[in-house]
Amino acid sequence: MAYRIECIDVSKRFCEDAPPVLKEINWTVEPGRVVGLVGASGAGKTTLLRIIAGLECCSGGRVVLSPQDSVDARRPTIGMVFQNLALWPHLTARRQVEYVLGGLPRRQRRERAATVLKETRLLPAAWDRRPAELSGGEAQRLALARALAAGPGILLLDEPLAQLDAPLRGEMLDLVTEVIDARGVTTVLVTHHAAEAMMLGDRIAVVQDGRIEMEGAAEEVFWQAPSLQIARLTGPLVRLPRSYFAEKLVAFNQGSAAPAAREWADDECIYVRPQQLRLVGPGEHNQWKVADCRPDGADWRLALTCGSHRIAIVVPQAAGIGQSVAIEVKSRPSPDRLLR
Amino acid sequence: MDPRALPPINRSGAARRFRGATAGSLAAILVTALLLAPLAWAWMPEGSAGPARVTVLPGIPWKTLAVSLAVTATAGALAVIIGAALAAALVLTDLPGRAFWATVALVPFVCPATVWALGQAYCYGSGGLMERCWPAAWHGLRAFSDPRHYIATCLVLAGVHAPLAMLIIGRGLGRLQHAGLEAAALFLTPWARVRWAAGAIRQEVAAAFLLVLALGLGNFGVPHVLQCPLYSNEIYLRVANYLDHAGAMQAALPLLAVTVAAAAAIAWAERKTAYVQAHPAPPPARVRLGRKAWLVGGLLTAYLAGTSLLPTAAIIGECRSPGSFLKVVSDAAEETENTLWIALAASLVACLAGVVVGSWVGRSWRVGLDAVTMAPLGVPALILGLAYLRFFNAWLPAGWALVGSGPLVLAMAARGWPFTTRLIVAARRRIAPEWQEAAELAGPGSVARWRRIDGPMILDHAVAGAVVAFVLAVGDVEISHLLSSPGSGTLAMRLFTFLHFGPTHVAAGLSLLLLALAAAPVIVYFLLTDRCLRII
Amino acid sequence: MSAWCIRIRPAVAAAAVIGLVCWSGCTRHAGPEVVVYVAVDRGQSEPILREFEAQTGILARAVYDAEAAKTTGLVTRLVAEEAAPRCDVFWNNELVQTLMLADRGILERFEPSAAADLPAEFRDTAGYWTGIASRARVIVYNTRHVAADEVPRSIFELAEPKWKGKVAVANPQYGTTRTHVAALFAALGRQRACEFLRRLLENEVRIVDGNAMVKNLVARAHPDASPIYLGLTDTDDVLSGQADGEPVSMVYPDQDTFGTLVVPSTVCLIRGASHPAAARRLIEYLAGADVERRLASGRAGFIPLRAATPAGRAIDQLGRPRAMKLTSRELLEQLEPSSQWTREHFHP
Repeated sequence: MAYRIECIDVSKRFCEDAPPVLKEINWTVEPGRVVGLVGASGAGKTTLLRIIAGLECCSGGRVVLSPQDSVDARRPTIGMVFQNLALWPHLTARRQVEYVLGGLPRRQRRERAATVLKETRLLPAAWDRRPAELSGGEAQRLALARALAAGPGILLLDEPLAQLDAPLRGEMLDLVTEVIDARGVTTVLVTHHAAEAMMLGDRIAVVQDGRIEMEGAAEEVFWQAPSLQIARLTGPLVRLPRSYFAEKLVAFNQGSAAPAAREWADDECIYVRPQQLRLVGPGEHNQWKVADCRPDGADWRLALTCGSHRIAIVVPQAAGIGQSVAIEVKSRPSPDRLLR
Repeated sequence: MDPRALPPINRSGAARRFRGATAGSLAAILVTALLLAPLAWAWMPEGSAGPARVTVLPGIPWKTLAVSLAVTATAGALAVIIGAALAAALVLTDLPGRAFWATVALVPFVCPATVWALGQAYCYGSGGLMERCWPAAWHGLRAFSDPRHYIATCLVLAGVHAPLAMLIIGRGLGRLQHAGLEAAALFLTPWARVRWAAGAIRQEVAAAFLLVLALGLGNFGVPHVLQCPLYSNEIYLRVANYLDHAGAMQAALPLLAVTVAAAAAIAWAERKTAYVQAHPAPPPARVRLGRKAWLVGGLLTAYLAGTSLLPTAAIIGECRSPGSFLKVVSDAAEETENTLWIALAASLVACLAGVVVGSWVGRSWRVGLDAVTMAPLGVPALILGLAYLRFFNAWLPAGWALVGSGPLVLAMAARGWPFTTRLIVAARRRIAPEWQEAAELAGPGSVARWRRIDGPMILDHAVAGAVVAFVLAVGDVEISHLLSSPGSGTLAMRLFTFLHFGPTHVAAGLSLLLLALAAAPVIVYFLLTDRCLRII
Repeated sequence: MSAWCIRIRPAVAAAAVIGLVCWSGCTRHAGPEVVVYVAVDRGQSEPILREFEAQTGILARAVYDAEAAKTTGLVTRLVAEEAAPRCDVFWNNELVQTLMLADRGILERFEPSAAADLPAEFRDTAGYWTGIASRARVIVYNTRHVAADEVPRSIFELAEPKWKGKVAVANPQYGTTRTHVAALFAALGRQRACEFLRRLLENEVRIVDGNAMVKNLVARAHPDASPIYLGLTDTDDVLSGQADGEPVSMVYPDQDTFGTLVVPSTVCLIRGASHPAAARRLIEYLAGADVERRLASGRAGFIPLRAATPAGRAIDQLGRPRAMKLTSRELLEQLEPSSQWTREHFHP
């Protein structure tokens, strides 16, 4: 059964003299939803997670966890994957999961543990090993299996992929997505990487300075960030100073409205998503020279220069890009969503 | 089985963090109060039920106290130097057989102090092994001795407590390996490296010195055997000869002020050291000795031979013959049985009490609480025994026969309890908070959580604590002397009565028997766990 | 984390330990018993008590005092337990403190029939104590470093300059040394006794914890490191050393003048004893000629009180000593004044 999470005026202060870590957060996670909590270090994401888990108590407000289709605030089973996994060093993988299933008859415990371990694709050869004998990926799977073993109503993931390398991260992301989708459990994922949250979650909540500044679907949060700080948290940005437009180094393409009516301050600049930029072939505005072109994972990072100006952008493919290019800003969905 | 089809497990209790006055904290306070109540009672004025004073010795022998402080402080400094050298060899280098060396190096501490001192006397004293085998060397050595044996006492105290210093400083050196030792090896000259290491472990050095000071100042066996007139003998005179309990407690006050303060200061010295291990530690970086391993091994062997092997050989030599030793053993059968069951009972009680109190104290990092649990380490066994004697005399003046060896077991447990508490606190603090939180969230009740998570994590420390309490009880003479009921003497008491005026082979045989009894659990522990006994 | 910590079943292990403890603690003696405080050396007294147990089936729960305190420690314990005595029989290795206990009313009258043939001076006329075998105060010397003709024949010679720093005595606040000092006060008078003791101190006498320690120091004397060649101790200590092959021998001091102190061991019944019948049987046993014979022929070579009882070989060769002529009352009167003086002047 999935649970609803309601945070009502939740605030947290660790001691009297310290500034508050959380400031009257009102936030609801509907049953069965997967929500990513994104924010900078010290924003309060993990604190909020721990308050939901019951590991910390809030200085003000309350957290209500109620089952689906009911307002009865019974305490659900909570599964949590800690940032450093917190696997008990003296128990084997199987015993870690069986411990969570305490209260069941022994045979049932073993069967259920085996089922969950298979679900997280931990090989049987690893079931009788202790955490120190497991690889990073195996330990991660075990932590997930332990969190899921008791059939939790709420699953909390605290930067679960932070310690994994890139290939493993991708693999685990797929596994977590699959498992969460299969179970339909209410999930809150805390991460620094907005892209992870967007891949896993239905919705993203951005935490800044102890408040949830924005919450919405991934696309909404990505494209319609209300401020530069939130936009920085939720994706990459390219900085375009006012002088680029004044010197016609960058242009807005047809159909997109430029902020021509506005009066720009001297040092003002705008920020756009890399996806809002288009490189065009030689033409009227092709002053930018491609100074460097390096692979950046699956993409390509181009260093463009024009006189004393220099800009770096990431493009999905470098084929077809000549030595000189022009940069156009195309905005989507709204031409006014240019960040300052 | 489709995991989605599995129903969730119902949990009746909420995951709740431990805070405030729960059953655990109440139990801890109760245990502490029970064990330390006699100490508080000891300074009450004697009522009509108390023993009558026969003679009162006036005043406090301040000069003796000053001399005792000087001797013990010197012993403490020596112990720290020896312990640091041992720890450096065993922790920082790749010397082969480190676990074995570490266990052998512990023998002086686990051996009863009386036996240890006797062994040194048999080896290096007048008419001893050295004199018989190498008279020229012995005469050269004796030239440095003093008539009151202060130097000998200082050296023996240092030798007895060097293993403790080794363990404490070794723990600090172990931390260095994850705190930049390799960088120091790259960037610093050897001398700068030593200075860096010394600065990095200064807290452990301070803690080791304070501990040796606290334990050494209250040590009765060593100065008594070596006939060195230190302060502990003054207190013993008042207790044993004049039954001046009140006077003994008054005389004990200055001693206690120093020892208890020193023990409590250990908590302050170590206030910023943290040993939480949330992740398995990476393999430590060790200095490769190469051919120097022979030199280091040779020095270790020489030290251990000089302090442990030769004195043991001297004791064996004084036993005269296997037949004579067996006769001594058979004559002491009853005392051996008494010793075993009293020591077992005391270690069990000390271990349980240590688990209760240590688990509670170990949940937080409060210097004040640590100081309170460390302070009883500084109470000499003589004072503890006297306090319990006064307490039970006051409450059960005519009923001793009813409680038998109960007060004795309790007092011995109170002696071992600070060690077990200390070990459990250290074990508890090594448990990462995330492990605890994961266990709380997982749901099973506190009993199951204790049985499967907390308990196993502190089990080896609890066993080590029980072993320490056992060996302390086996070698105890101060408390036994005061609290044993007639006919229920222990081996240590038997040795005490034969020490100076009995036949030497009897004293030697009893010493060997005590050594075997005290060393046996340590050896068993080592064989089972393949690691040395962690005491602090 | 060790594998054995996981494998072992803590509950089973704890149960085994608890069971062992309970079993050991519960196997207690259920028959008759007697509590005896023993100041006589354990090596000599314990076999005698074991023999008593074997003959009578009465368990003798003995409390042996430790070295330095010896008799004084047990006596003070008896005084302290006066209101609720735990002890039934006190087997002392000297006389004066027994007299003190009798004076304080801590003892009960009992005259064992086995002591009927003892000389009168070794039995209390009031019946509070009975003498067993005795010891004498002697000058012990190292036979390797002191020739037989050099050995002092009087205690006063120990204060001569030639023996400066070479003499040891036990702490005069306890044991037979305490009695010896009281005897000197009684025999010589306070002034002369104090003068002798003062000269002894000026002669750098070494003060040690017990008579056995005196003997040990003398036995292990070496010119360079430990030049203690002489000492004041008891016959049983010297004879024990000789039995161990140590290079020690002894002379009775002052045989031509006031004699030496002969200290009988005494046994007495404590008033209010919890096991009076068993206590009387023990006293009868200890006061018998058989025990005296065993003490005399034993390692410690006690001097028999009965003329008919043969002395051990060593005493036989040396001869029985000429004792100081002092009454027990005279000794008792000087006990506290002499102790006070030594407390003020002797510091070990």
